[in-house]
Amino acid sequence: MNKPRSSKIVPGAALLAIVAAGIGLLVTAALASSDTAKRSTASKTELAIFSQPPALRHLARTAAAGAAKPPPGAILAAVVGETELYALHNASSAVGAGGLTDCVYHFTNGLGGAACGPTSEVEESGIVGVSVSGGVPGAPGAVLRITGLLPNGVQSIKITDRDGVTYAVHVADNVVEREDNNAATVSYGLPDGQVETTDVTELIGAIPRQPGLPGASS
Amino acid sequence: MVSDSLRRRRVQAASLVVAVVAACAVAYSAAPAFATNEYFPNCEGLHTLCNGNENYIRNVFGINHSGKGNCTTLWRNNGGGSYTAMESECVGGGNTSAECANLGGYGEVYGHGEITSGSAGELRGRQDNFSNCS
Repeated sequence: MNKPRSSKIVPGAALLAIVAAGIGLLVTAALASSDTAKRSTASKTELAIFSQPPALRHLARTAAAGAAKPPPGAILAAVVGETELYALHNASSAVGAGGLTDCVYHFTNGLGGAACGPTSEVEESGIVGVSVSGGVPGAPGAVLRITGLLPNGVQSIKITDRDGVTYAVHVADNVVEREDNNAATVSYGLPDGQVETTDVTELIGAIPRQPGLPGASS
Repeated sequence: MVSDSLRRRRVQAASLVVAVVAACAVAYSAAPAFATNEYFPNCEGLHTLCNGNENYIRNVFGINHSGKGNCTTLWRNNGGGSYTAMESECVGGGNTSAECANLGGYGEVYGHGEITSGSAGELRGRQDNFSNCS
């Protein structure tokens, strides 16, 4: 009289398996479309230097002993005199800012520095870093260096010195570098016609001539 | 009388202790003597200047969360209250600036990092002695 229990269980289990498989397919499809959307968004604005075929990339050199090194994955973008310029894409923030950053690094004789900004902002409007090495600004032997990581389509930057003299510096592979102790402003035009300007004098005015007390703030 | 099996077990135990001690010694010698990776203290709230503690460092990073730009500087302590600015880097807005140094015998500089801004902002700075500037 009683029917075998297995005959009820098997269709139930099969139904569950079909539902689970269906959910799995839906989730997989959703993830795939999200990934595709992200990729297509990135490919519109990603800097050209990061889109080069891997065979053409010059990844960070094995630095000589005693030399400062860029992070793994940084691309050697240019060598200007004794200065090496590297570009890094989608790096984690070094100060826990959240989000991913694009950076331009410069290294000269064991010393270097970097300017990093949120990837989307760098792709849209670029980033300029102003460094002073070998002393405080204006000190004998101190060198003021301008480095930039610029959006696709920016061909050159314009540097205006404190005496009003203006000149252009060519951008190659999205990066640019120039040593100029008299630089006052840096500007460049974006493909949409907007002009970005960095006030070098104002920026380096924040560099202190003497260090503050260790561990102190004001 | 100590049986052979007991003697064998004692020898095995002694070998194990020697192996563990040797492994610990190797691991200790392979690890860096001092690993520095610290955010600047006393930097909560609005400031125009924050300093790291004196330490052996290679890299300094800074950001101004108020978006008013910042400069970071790596100061080398020469002793006797004398300091040298090894490198400074300035950026505008809420971008991140960094110094990367690898000088001297161990590649480290004894001194401290500093972040400054032209006007008060939410500054945050970090210094470390990692071999890569990241």
